[in-house]
Amino acid sequence: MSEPIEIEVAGSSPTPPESVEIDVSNAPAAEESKPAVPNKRRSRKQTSSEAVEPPHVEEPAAPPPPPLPNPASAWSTQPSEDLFEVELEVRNRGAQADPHASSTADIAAGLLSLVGENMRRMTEEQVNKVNEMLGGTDLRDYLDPDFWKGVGMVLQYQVQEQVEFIKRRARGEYTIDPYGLDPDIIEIVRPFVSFMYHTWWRVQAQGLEHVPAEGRALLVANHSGVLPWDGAMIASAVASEHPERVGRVVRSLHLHWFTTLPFIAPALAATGQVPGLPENAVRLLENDELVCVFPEGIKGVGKLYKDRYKLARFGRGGFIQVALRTGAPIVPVAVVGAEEIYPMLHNAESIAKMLGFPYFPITPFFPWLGLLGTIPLPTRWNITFCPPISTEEYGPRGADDPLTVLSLAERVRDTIQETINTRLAERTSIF
Amino acid sequence: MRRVLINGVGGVLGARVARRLCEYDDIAVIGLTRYEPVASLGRTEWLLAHLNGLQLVELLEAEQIDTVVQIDFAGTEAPVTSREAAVQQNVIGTMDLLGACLRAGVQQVVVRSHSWVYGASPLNPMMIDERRPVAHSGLRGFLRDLAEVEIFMAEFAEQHHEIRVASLRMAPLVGGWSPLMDYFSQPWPRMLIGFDPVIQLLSINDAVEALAHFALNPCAGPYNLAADDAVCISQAIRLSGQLPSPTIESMIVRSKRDVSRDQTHPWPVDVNFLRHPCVVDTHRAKQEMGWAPQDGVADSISATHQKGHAPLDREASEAALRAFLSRKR
Repeated sequence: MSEPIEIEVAGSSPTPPESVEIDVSNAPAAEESKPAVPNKRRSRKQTSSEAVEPPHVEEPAAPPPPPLPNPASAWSTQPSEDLFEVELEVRNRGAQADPHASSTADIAAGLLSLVGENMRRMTEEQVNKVNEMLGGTDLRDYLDPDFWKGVGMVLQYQVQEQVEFIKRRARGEYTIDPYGLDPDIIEIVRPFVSFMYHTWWRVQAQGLEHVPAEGRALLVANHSGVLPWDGAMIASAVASEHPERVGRVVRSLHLHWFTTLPFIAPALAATGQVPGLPENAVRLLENDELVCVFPEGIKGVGKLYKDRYKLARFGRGGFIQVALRTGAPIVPVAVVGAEEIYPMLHNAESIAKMLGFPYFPITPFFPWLGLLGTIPLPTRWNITFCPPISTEEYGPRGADDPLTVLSLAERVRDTIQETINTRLAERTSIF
Repeated sequence: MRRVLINGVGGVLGARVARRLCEYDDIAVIGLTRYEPVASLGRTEWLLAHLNGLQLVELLEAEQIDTVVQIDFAGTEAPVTSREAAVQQNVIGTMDLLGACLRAGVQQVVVRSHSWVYGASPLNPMMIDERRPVAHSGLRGFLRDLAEVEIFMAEFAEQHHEIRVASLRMAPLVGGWSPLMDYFSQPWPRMLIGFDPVIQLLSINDAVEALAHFALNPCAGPYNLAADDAVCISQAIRLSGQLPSPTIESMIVRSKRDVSRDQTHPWPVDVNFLRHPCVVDTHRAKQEMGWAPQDGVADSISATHQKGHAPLDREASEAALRAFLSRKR
């Protein structure tokens, strides 16, 4: 962030007074008498370099703003960074205000974050055009109409890019991997999954350092929540919050029955999920991928509300055999919060049989509210990644020894159950 | 001097394999076909005949053939006119040929097969390797014939160790006529609504190379062959310059029944191939035989779409003209 821009802020921004409270505590005494602007800068300074300081001192001495700096330099260097700061500020302010205002602030911040995200994909030429449009306005002037004009322009480029994208898809110019994983589709669903992750369920992920940054590993998680949202959230946690920022794709294994369902089958394949057959798991692990399995399977997702957080049987330990054959470490994963997203009161087996489904949930909202009933409840989630269990000492031969397999399965199951119990005890409310 | 017999040099694939093998001076290439070849066979000596088992033995012994390449399958290179005749040619014809090879002391038989003999099922692994058994049911048309041939070949190979029998399970070919290419190039190809499985393909150039390579090197058992990249069916259709039309299953099935009445249009071979992927693992061919596909699927589909089915450019034409003018008179 360059200094002249800040001077511009001082000259033109109609800063709302409520921001005064934010940083007064750590602001220098000299600033306390001044209006909101220096405070704003103060909050910014926490993330920016010390170079900000000098103009800030000069400021009161020169009330009419000096000639405009070239805003293009700020835009083309780190345009999105600036926006992220603004976003942070909006969030902070929202958090300090009353709860009603905080939700609107959240939406505004979400929009800003979306714009910032998109700007990272813009070309140099497009950025320059936006700069021209913006003229001398500062990014921090989010109450200035020009700022929103700029945002509108960014969105317009975004639409153009989408049209290009659709044209390219229509010509068939994209690549998929032999399992059907389509990077374009992953990019499309990412914002939605991220919304569910951060805003809807406010997922708190712990122990991500136990997920290896490279090489094979088998994540073993408890399954819950009628629809397999938990797989998507685990994948999102690894993709967005891993300490080494590796952005690994988690390949979840799903019930092969899903591949017989229209629309669901291609969607699962495009997002990198594969039918849960041992051959697939072995092959993916041999390719050093990160594989996630839910050994409870249907018994887990189709659990009744009264049985929540009681782990079902872990199959016959097929997942342990896979890990032993490939020497992959097992990372137990405990998901808390997913059990309550669809409180399943009853499993209407006769309807399920008629439709060919593995279960047919009756919840307080489904099927009574139709499609609305499929909206999950916004519970608060916690995903804990436990320390990995090494399987190398047993060797591939261990896979043929039922005792090794079953005892390891039991150990993984106990780890997950204990972690769930701990998290449940810590939890104060499901929302 | 190797002496290779190619059964089925009449089609485009057979003719190209024959010409490819003719590039080696120390190999004598004999062709056998049931109809006039559609393309030039180079210096191949060929015979237009429909031989039974004993006549085949006579031919193989007289010509001292040591390697046989079997690509004479109805329904793979031209639409089938009669289902019964096709079974006769595909299944009984191959059994006759294998029996004759055994009796005539042929060392190696390479049979063209199809990667879809595994069938399309939700229980298929994402990458099928050769250990997976061939589907016994759920296949129609020439795929069913090929599956029967595969099953017979496996038994045959188990009983007779003195002869090497290899089957090349090739993904559907791009270039030349095939039911799948026909489907891609028709207007508004029908797809099953809500499904878009991954398919593998193989360019005809790679198929020719593979058949020649496997014929000249010792090999036995099944080998999966496919290009390295894969595409979705809808993507393949778009690359072919068409737009897919999603349809419900009963409409496809009905049209399938109409089609089987006049027997000229074998696609969709089985609706399941529009629903589930059948993706094969080509590791065995690569590691044991050192075979590697050269062409990417997406490129070869769009190349076929742009150039049409006869990709003869100026340079190739010039070379052909020189070769023709300098021929021995």
